Amino acid sequence: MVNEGLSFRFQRRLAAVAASLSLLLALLVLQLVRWHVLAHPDTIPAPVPVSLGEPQRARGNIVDRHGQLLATDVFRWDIGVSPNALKDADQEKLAQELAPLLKQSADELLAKIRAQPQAHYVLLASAVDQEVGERIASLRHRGVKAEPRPRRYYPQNELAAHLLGFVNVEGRAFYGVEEFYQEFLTNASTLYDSQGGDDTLPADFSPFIPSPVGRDLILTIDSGIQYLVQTELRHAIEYYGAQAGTIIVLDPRTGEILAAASEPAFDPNRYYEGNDRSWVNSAISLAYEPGSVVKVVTLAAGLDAQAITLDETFRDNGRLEIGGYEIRNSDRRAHGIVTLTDILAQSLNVGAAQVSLKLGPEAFYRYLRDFGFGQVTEVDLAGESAGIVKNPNSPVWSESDLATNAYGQGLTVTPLQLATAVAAIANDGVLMKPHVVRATVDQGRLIPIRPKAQQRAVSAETARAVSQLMRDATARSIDADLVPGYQVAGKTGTAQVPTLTGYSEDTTIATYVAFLPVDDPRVVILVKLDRPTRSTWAAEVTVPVFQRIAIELVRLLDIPPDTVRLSRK
Amino acid sequence: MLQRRFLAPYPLLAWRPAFLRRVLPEEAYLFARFLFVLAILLAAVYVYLQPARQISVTRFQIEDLQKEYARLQRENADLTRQLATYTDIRRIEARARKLGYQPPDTHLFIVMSASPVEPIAARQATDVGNAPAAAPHEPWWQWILDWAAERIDLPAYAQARR
Repeated sequence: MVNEGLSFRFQRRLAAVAASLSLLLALLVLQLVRWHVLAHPDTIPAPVPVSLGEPQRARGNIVDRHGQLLATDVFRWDIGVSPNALKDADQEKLAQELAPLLKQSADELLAKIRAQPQAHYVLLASAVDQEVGERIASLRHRGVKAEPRPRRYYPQNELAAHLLGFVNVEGRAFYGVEEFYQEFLTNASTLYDSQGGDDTLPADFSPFIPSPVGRDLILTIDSGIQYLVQTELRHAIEYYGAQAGTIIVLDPRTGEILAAASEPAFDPNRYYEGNDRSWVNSAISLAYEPGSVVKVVTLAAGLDAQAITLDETFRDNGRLEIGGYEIRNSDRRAHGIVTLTDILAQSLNVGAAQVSLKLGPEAFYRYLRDFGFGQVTEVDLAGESAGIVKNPNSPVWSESDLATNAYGQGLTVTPLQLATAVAAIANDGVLMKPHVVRATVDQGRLIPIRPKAQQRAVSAETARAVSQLMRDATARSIDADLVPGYQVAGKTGTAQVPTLTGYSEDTTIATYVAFLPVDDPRVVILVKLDRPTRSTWAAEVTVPVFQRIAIELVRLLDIPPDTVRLSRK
Repeated sequence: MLQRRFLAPYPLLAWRPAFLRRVLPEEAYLFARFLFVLAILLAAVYVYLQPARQISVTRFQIEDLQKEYARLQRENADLTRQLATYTDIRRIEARARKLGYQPPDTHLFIVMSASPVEPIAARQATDVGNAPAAAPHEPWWQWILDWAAERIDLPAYAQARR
């Protein structure tokens, strides 16, 4: 009986164990079937990727022509807490712990946390440094959220701010190359490389290029020259009491912009402290009446079209009536028989108007367009303006416009258009497309941007003849030794500021555009000051600024003086 | 008992060799067979789950590495920022001025002779037969420059001379 009883109990236990194991196995198999057969792959949650910030906002680096870093991405941390997940004691402890790291008092932090006790998230600090952010993240506090976010950083602060533009906290770019190359820098565009890309990346660029994003820009600007130009512009505005100003340094042979500065300026790291007036790049966006600088283009057009000759003279009676509008010289004087050099040296409006009248409207406006006026230069910067040049076939055009346009009134141009037009004369009559990006770098592959000729504005002979006229005019009206050791060809322009009732008598916009050395031009420099108060004349306010910059530039660019250079030839 | 209860309708499943009938009681034999089947099933599950486990582990490792990569990327960005700050042109200028440097007053250019060596045509004309090649002509002051360069160690000059 006992044996039978034991055997029976043993058998029952055995059956129970077998049933349990079978049940477990069945559950396991059922679960596996549910996961791998019944469940669609889409219903299985994918592993959450680790956020590397916000990939759509990460941007490539921007460096100058020597590899100096101008813009990069850094990470700044947002530190927040969930008050509803923290007990009172924990809140106090947390505030004590975070206070020294966030450089805020514990009471201040506690007040922030307790202001919204039921909130899921309260921001305690934003834009926290990388080191502090990492430390807070490593504390692994329950209820604390430390999130790194990419932010655009400009290590040179306001240097070349107008050329760079800025990126706001949402990752949207405004102005400059940041906006123009938005898609390229954020890796959002497909790059169609039609110009090869086998050029080797110079070793100097290695610390900053290629960036983790792999889409970088090498600019044409030289940080040293840019710094010089910005410093001089700031001093000039202060010294001459001007309201604003622009300086452009251009290589006439390639159209490369070596430096461009505008005032008022801003710091792209603190763009929110600026406004529309400071953000806008007046070198390309603000068109103005340039004044007498246009006389250079007028003479070049007259000579090229053979409407006038180099030794031609004009009778200057001090006034010229055309289309019911009386044209006078700026000094209100008659100069008698004048040459082309006189027209430039003494900036004679009457003489320039006679040239355009001889040329006729069709040819004159064709030449203006050939020199790039009235159309965008296609510079690779966002926000370029085309300026206004009247069409002779338009009803708003009158014959007087032909005369006034000849000396830079009644038309508007941007400083860059003006510099590019004068650069065409320096470059044997060929108008080059100005550009700020020297090369793009795609995943370490260098793709140079080749200089591009827009069109021939005038013949090489005409361009050289006008260069000589400009040189002689500079030597006669300004100083033969303006930049010691170098011949300079330039033209001033003092434009009255247009008002609702005509032109202001007291305020002017002063411009000086010049290039050097005359025999082999390496740089074109444009200096423009708006409404200077110390003097209203370009020769007195912009020429000294040009002189200071040019003297430094020939050193920075290693341009040998005329005596040395010409002795080599 | 078990045989009677569960296996009576399936005699084939109840079959076992004669020597086992003698050694093992019926219940123990059936339990052993059950364990054997269970072991095979568990082995099958193990074979399936093992790679799944490895995938999960690898996924966690990848996640860790991604975190580490992100951290290094942030650190790299910060180092780039620091490096750029140290090469800030204003900082360098301030430092240079502090060290007593000044912008140069003059820039000296030295005009060198256009043809420092004998023209090729002339050399070929004098190269007749097995006559030893003439030593290149050097101006009398050249040895002074060489001597001075050796003393003050001008690597660029030495390289140019080579």
